Amino acid sequence: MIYGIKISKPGYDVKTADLKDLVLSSEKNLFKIKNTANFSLVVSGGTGQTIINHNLGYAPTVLVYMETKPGNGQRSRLCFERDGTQAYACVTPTQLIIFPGSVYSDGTYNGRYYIFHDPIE
Amino acid sequence: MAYGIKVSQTGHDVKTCDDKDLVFSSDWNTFKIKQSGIVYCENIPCGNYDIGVFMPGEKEVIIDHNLGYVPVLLAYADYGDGRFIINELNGLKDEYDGFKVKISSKQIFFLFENWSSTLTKNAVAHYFIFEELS
Repeated sequence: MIYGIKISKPGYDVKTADLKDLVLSSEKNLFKIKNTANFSLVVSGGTGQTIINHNLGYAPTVLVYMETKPGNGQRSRLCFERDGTQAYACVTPTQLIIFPGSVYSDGTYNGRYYIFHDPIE
Repeated sequence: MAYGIKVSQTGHDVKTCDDKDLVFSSDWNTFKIKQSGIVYCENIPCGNYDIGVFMPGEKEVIIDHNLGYVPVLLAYADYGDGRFIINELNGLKDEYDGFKVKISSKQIFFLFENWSSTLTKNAVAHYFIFEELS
């Protein structure tokens, strides 16, 4: 016998609903937040680095949001390096590393990160 | 006594499996969609050279969310070719367009970049705001 669980959105019959109308199904994985916290990135002379140790032993999926200018309260999702004009985040089996692109002005940038239980690979 | 619920992926024993093999655990939060919507941007000008450097055409669309905090946001833009590009993508001349989004405690700022050297473009963006903070 196969066991499992499904939870549908309000107004949908869990026994017949499409997958997109389920809030949870044990047949499909969900991103699960392992750790989330605020951070600051101090940029001086165009350089800087913030390291978050997660020590999971594998590279986890992550999301990172950070101010676009020091203290402006407007946040964007960080992306991986393309041409040196944005701030970046990368992740290893032990660390999440956040660093600025070459055109980032000096100052303290506030942000928030999410590290998920779910591995990239 | 601590109460909670765990749900494992198919084929894994919920009592013994690794955390990564759980679909759900009440010990951990998951992203919950608070709002979603669509924004349209028309007549984004094509790019031009500025002192020998190609600069994309740009158009910004601003909408209010008025949540009073800066939430996590994901957005995807379609420039009419059926490909959805995720926010914070740089473009490349005559190959693909750029799409950048930032969010404050009151508003979302969508920046549509047209990296074509010849064509004016339209775009539509679908966005998701989550309960969680950014």
